[in-house]
Amino acid sequence: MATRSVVCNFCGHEVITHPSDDKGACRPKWRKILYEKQPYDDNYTDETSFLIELVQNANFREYDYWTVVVDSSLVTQQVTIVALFCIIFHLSYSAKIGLPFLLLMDTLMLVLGYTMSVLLDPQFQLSDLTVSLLRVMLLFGSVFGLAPVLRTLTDAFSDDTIWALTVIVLTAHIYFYDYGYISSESRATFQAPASLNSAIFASVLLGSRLPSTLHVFCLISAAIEVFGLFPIMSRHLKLFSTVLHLGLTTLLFVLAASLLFSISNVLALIYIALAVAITFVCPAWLVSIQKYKNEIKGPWDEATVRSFQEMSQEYV
Amino acid sequence: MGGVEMHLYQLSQCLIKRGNKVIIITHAYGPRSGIRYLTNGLKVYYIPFVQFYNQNTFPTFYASFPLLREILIRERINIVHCHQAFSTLAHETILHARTMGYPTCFTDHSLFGFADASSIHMNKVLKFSLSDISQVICVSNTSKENTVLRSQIDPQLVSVIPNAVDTSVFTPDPSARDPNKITIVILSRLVYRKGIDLVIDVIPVICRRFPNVHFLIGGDGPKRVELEEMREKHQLHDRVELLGSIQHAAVRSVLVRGDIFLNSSLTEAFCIAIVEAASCGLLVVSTKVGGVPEVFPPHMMKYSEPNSADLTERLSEAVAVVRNIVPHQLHQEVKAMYNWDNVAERTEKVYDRMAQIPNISFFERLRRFHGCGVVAGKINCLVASTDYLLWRLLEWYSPAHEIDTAIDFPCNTY
Repeated sequence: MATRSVVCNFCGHEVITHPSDDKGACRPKWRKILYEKQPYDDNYTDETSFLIELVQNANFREYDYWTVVVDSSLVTQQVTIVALFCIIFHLSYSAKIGLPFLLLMDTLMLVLGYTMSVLLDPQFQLSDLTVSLLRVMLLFGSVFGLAPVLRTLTDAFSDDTIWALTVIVLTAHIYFYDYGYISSESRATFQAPASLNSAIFASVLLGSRLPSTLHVFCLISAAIEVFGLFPIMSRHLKLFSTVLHLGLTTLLFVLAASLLFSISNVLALIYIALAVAITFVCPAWLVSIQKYKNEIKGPWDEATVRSFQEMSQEYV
Repeated sequence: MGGVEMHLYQLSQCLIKRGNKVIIITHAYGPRSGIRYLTNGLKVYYIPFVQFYNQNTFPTFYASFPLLREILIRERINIVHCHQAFSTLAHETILHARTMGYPTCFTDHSLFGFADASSIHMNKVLKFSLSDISQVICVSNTSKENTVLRSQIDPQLVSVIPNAVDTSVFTPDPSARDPNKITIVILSRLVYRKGIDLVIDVIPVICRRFPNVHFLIGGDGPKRVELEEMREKHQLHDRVELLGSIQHAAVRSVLVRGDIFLNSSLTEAFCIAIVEAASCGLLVVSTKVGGVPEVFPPHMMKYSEPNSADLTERLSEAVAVVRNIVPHQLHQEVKAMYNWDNVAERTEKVYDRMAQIPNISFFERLRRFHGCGVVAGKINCLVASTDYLLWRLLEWYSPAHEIDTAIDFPCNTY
């Protein structure tokens, strides 16, 4: 159905002559307006301009499999951290490691982690050291003081409740975790209070099963280091070098897997399967379903309001 | 009265004038239940169904069938016309009317997106309803594109018939304006969707730029608090007047007090408010969204992008030229463009087109429903088949020839 656009000899307007017009009469081009009566039926659909403003998949991003795999290492790392924390708890619960070893481990983790983040942080100054030392003393001092209270907080719960609650709460921690913090250069504040709270709550829950106050102190300190302070170091590491970050993740994975094997084979296998799924299977899935993406935008969309403040910030 | 109710009422009145018999079926509004007669013998059935959210009846799929069937048979209805995609009663009526074989038409009054959860569900429901519809009417070309995309029907089925305005009611009255000030009127629900955030940004800037400009804001809603905060922050109590909720009968008296009408909606299929304002002789400044650019030619309206900066510029331009506008000329132009008789005439053409479509068999209907999706198609067929069985049951239990026909209101004698 070819339509030709010509200039009418009589009226001088651009008109469309359509071969199916019975009288061969020329009529003006159809316009997308409502205020004038046009010589077309109400259900006329203009082939050239119908849905011409439709934009499909304007924000489509082509995902590269290996980039997604590297990015998914953040999630794997967090799952590994949770697994390591549970291992620490289990080792002290089943008395496989004694109190001195726990204390030593906590101190080593703190010192090592702090040194690494200091070395990797480009903006570190010596004056920050005294501030950090003060903060450490304050934090761990208060945990030490509160340890007796925290130990008896969830004492009355039965064991089953504790295990079930811990699983739920740690899953919530992984779900709500601020993954964007670790990879972002500009944003230096960790913004997921729900995840941190869930993790500390899990440590308090687990702490009530431990024999003495010092055990509880060690566990909660470990929780603070692993959930609260480790992200800082991890972020500096990732910003410094992605390869090192991947190396750390692999190291932690191997550590967690081998320790889990000493606890229970089933758990270790589940953990390895989960890590492999997150790292290799899920990215493949994501890349393969991109072909179904169909994002439709057009003049019918609700406009996004941009206030003066937002627009002026763009010029800053 | 909302825009859709106004549309229904005016369209019904004009169709009655053209010699058709029109009845309206809607749900009961509190004590307003039963059958009432409006002007010119327009019969309205307020059926006693429970409402559950946003003035919508509780969707039961089948519970409305016996009553609807009874009404359609006793009134000897030939054509069923349903309105508004949000209305559960409309969707149920389309299903039942099509099961009984009536030619059914649907008018869509609003635009929908595709991305959020509520839109996805509504679009699926619409796809179900429009799989087997005779004709569709949309109020603007943008609305037609949107409806065709959402329900994936043949565009030839969709006619574009714009809304109109009663120009005999909305007449200009320049004497009602204050000659010392330039009054900008904003009449809308104070919700996010109507772009009240833009208004909040624009008012302080305009008030600073033009010392003789005043704002008149009618309507109520959740954003009223923010407007009052803005007014408080910039000390504009004498320049910004908040009128609260306005009855539809009083809209004209508020409009004629203004020189300029500001519409800042973020999405609009066809904005009746701006047509009412232009009919009262106000210069219209509006955001260029949805179907709004199709409503008026460029010389009658100022379009702006939906952001505060551009809206402020257009409003400033409007303030500069508003004294050159002749209200009666605007009114005459609107009168020539939009009137309800024209809408009724074009709607009758759609009805004629529907009468020419042959009846389709039940299996053809099932085939159409089945095309809605892999899982949805099967569910749709189940729903349609159950409806058909229910219809046969009703035909056996209460045969059509035993239902008394209602007397038509003798509007010719009045």
